[in-house]
Amino acid sequence: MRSEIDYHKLYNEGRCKEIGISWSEKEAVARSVGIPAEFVREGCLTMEAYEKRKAEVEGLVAKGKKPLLHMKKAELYAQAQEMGLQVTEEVPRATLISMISQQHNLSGSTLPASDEGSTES
Amino acid sequence: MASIRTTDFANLLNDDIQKLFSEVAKTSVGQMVGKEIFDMGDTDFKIFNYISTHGMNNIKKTAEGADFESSTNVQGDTASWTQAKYGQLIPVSYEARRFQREQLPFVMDNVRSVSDAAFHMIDQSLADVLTNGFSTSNYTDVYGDSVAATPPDGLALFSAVHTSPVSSRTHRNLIRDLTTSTTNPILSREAIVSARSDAMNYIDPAGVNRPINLDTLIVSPAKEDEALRIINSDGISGSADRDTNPLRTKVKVLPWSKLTTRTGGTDTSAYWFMADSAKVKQSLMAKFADRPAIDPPEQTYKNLTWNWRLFFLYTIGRGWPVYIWGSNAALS
Repeated sequence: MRSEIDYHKLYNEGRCKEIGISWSEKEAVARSVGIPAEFVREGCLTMEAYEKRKAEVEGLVAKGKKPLLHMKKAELYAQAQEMGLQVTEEVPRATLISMISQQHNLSGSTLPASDEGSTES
Repeated sequence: MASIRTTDFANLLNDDIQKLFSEVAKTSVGQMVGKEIFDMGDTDFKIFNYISTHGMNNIKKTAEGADFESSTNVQGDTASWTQAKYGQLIPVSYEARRFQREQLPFVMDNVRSVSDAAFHMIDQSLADVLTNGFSTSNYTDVYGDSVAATPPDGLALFSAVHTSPVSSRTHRNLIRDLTTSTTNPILSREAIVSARSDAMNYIDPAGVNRPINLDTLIVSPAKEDEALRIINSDGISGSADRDTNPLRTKVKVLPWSKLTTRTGGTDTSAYWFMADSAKVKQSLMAKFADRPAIDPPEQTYKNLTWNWRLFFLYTIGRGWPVYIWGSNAALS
């Protein structure tokens, strides 16, 4: 018997780690204390880790190197189009991140430091 | 010799097989514990679509002459549960029919065994929902299939932080012992009292207290005696004082042998669960398109073996989970 839940909806609401991957209990607890989903996805499970990483991300953003994981879907979609990737607006955010990362690898260009070795690819 | 047609044969033997199946079903269904906490409803849908709307549409004040406010259109969490078919043929060979006096008892033993197994496997599939409820990973069910373990919010069935799309408020159904600040405590009076207190204080996604009365304690046979002493003693179990035991009138014990070992072989005999008997069937569901039944053969095969079919179609689902609570306590 199959039992399926709507991971796309949960992902869009920051309520699962990836499409098909639930939050672990520790990650869910981190979410419940207010750590944003993208930071929990990067492994920030405490407020201290979150604050530290948040400062790093803000530094990268100031340098124009916003990590893919922290881009909104619209930003990712725009970047994908700039890179010539053929995608529609239906594509999930996680897939966009994966495709852009792959494109960077193929072209030999460097990703923002935080996206190298990203578990989201 | 006049030939015997299937229809004749069905009349001769089918009555006996149906009668035996009914007797076995009566006993086996009586032994099923899962039906006490699962909604064993019927459905005509191959794919049963579930939408959780709990706590999403609470009551609003309406001024004189004003229209009632419409329910929120926030989309609740959804799940779809697909029916699967399970069954077994029960063959009756020509020889078994030709030499009935000698061989019919073996045929009937087979009918009895397969029929009994059907109900116990259904019950095991229900128990496995609970014993696999502490992980978000798929697990292998009693039929050998990989099945999902999560309710619609994508977390483990038993979690300290269930979520809804309505608010950032979280909801616990993972048992803790407030006196020792232990999550997943071993069975104890303190842990039962803590779980009942947590459940009574349940706040729904919209912020309304909707008390949950955990009045059913579900344990494996290994914990039954301990559970009965905790719940049914006049005084507080293990205590020399003369305090009364309020749990005696508030909780009943439900032993379930299928909790001892989950499918796959893990010893889960120390796990224990509590349920609100009035509402738990909103959390746990088993939807049947066809309940177990045994059908007579419809045609004669070349090998002269006639097959009875025992089969059923059902699916299991998990709804808003807070009416069932659990602890995967380690063996002590």
